[in-house]
Amino acid sequence: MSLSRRKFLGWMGAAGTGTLLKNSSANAASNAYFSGYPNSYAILHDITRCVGCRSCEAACNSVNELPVPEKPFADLSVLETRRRTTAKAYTVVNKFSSVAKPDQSVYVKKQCNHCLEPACASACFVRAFKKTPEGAVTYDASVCVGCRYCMIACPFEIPAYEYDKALEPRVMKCTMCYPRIQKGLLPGCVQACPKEALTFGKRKDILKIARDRIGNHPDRYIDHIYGEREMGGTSWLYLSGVPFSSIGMREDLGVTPAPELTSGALGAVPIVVGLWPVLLTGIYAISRRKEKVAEAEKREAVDMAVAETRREAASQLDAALDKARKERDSAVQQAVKKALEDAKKAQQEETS
Amino acid sequence: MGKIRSRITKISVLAFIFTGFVAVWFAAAKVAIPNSPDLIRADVIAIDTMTTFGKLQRPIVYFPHDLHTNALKQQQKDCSVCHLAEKDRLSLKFKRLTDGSAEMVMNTYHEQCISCHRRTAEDKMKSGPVTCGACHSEIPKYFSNRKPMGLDNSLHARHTKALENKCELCHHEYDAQAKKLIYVKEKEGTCRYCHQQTTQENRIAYPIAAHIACIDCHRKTEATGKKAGPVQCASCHDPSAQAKIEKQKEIPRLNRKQPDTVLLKTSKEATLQDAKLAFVPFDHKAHETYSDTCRVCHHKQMSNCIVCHTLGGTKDGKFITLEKAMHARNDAASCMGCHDLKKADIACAGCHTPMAQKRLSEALCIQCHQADRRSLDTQLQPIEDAVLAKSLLEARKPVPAVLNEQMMKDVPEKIVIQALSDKYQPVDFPHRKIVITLLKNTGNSKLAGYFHQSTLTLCQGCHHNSPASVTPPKCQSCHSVQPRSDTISKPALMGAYHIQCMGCHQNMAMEHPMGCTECHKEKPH
Repeated sequence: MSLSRRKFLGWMGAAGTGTLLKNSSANAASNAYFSGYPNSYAILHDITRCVGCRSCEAACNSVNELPVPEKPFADLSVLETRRRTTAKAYTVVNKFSSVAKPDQSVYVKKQCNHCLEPACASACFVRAFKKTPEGAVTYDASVCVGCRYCMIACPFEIPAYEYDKALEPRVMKCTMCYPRIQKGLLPGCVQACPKEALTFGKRKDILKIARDRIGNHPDRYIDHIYGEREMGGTSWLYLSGVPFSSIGMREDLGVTPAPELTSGALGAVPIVVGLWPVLLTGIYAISRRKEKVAEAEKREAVDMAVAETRREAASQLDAALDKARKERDSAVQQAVKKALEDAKKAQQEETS
Repeated sequence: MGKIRSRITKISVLAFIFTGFVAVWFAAAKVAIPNSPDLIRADVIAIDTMTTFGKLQRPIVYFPHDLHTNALKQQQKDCSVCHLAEKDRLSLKFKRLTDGSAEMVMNTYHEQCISCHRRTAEDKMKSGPVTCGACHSEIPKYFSNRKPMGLDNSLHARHTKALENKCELCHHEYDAQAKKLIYVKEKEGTCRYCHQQTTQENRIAYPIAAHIACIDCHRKTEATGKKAGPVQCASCHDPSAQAKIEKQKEIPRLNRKQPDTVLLKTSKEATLQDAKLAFVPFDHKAHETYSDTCRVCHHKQMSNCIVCHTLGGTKDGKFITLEKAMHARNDAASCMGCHDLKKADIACAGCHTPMAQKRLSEALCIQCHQADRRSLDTQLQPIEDAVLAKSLLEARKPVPAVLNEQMMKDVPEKIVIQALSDKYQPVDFPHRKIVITLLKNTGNSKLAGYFHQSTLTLCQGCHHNSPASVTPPKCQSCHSVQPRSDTISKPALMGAYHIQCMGCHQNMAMEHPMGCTECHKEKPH
């Protein structure tokens, strides 16, 4: 059986797309169009309302039982430096000066955005991250191997790592207060915000509220709901009065969910990893079998040749023996004849 | 063979290193706004005359004008060192009257600038550059903070006074038949009507016209020893200097025979009797004092709005219909747009900024559309539109900005807010003090006096969504104490208080309260 390179690649392609087209709607990181779980929750952060009081940080710290920070939450001097989320702080508030009114400050809360199709989950090969139907992206430390691919994958640079733990360090990020949501409670930060700069609700309702606010106050808001479509959409949505790029929020992320960018390549991984050995083993087996058959034929031919020679040798022997016997017989006969003749001669001589 | 190869390797390594260096150098040479104040200037002129002759060989030159004016002043020299006289004024060009050829212009600059810089340096004085790159640099040495300058009403009044009401000194029109500039009394308009941003046929560009006229007059006045206007760039164009320009308080009315009152028609042809929509009486005289220029409303010509803004729109009016011209929100040129902008004044912003831009109610339409044939007694002798407008405007009574004693009694003086009492002491909310402040703020506003439906409209600033009443419902009537999932579009009580109080304080540009404990007193430990 011959297998050309072209044919082989054709098979590979067919096998790959076959697997990719398999529509697994339950899997948020599939290549099928996924617009989020229909009843998932979301949180709206209205940046124009935030006054940078850090109540959300304090609440987050207590509901998640995180270590007490060096400086108390009432100390607003920490706002002077740009911060990011850490293993000890799932959320931080940053201060920016307004572009339009440089004397005014703009405060922005930062935490996991709970993407509808999370990059962290798609990068995780042990499925430690899971997008729940409620909207939260949860993390299971028991299966995590600590590769920190999630940290590289996250476009918002959110997941942090317990580098100071020697044994079983975990990836740390906001949980959207998943345990509290399940109990019907508000996330800690939302509960604590004194200015209701955070609003929790069904994502579809939250989007409507955000649109209404923009519609009612076109002069107060930038006409854009950040997170509605960024990276395929997130469960944290933002309204701002100043351009998002001026307050440290990336506007170059595009609207394609991260898994969609990689699912083609990653979808082929099982094929390549799973199918190569099978195929190569098959090819190896075929070539091995060919060798075996050839050998068997060869052996048969040799055996036949050997048998033939043997047969010939035997017949030659028989002929030789035959001839010998005949010769012996004729010699005997001749001897007998001669003896008979001699006897006859002797008789004649005696009689004469 | 081996020799050549090793040489190639050496050369390529060197080339690579060199490229790296160049890249680093270019990266380092980013254009940044300089920090030093003498590099941020209002007098930077881009000398780009050569662009009219084609492609430039070197980058354009940014020239600090005041720096030179001051240097010449120290040497007891004046403007004529650089500027030649043309007719009886100085040309704005440098050392020439016309831009002949590229070569001539280039040589003028090179010879004159460099030779002067050399002479100054020989005289042991601080001098300018003499090498090409020092002037022609890719990265401008100066950062311009030049702000355009205009003549507002106050400055105009000061000029009128100084020039003894001789309007003809500045205002002119072009008489096409006589081919000269003439002055027509009571036809004065802004320079911008004829002088566009760029030179058109025989009309010089606005910036050139302004500089020729203003600076020349300032120089000549100064020469006579009188108090004169500035001749330095920064005096007009530096933002901080502009802010310091003296404002005249009493501004006499500009007289162009404009009407005091106008009856704005709702269509070009309609008479009051058969108009579908009531006419609008308009207090022109009062509105003259509300804006700084006539241009704000009259953009291109001093004619009636309806000439260009017809019901259906015309090309002259950029197809902006009459309705849009009067009602376009957020556009300072329309009535309602301007009124909207006035609501952003800090006296009004506390209540008005949080409000959503509502659709107009019928009650609001008739605030302006008063001249209705049905309500007016048409049996009367037909009167002139302006007279009718005047009488209607006089009949208007502003809403009083005071509450009588009886009503004031119903206004609680203090409200104790118990919420958050687990963390802080209760808040003493000075309710009556706030009411009095709002009354005082609106008392100064004619707009509020006219558009607020009643004195109790003020209560609706905080007690939004409730009817105007002296005893409106409490916040808790609508805002639940605990956040609820079924009313997420409405803040819960804590959010409502904070959004309302802090939002208002912020919008009214109040510094206090600072932090939580200025309202919420700490609990004694």
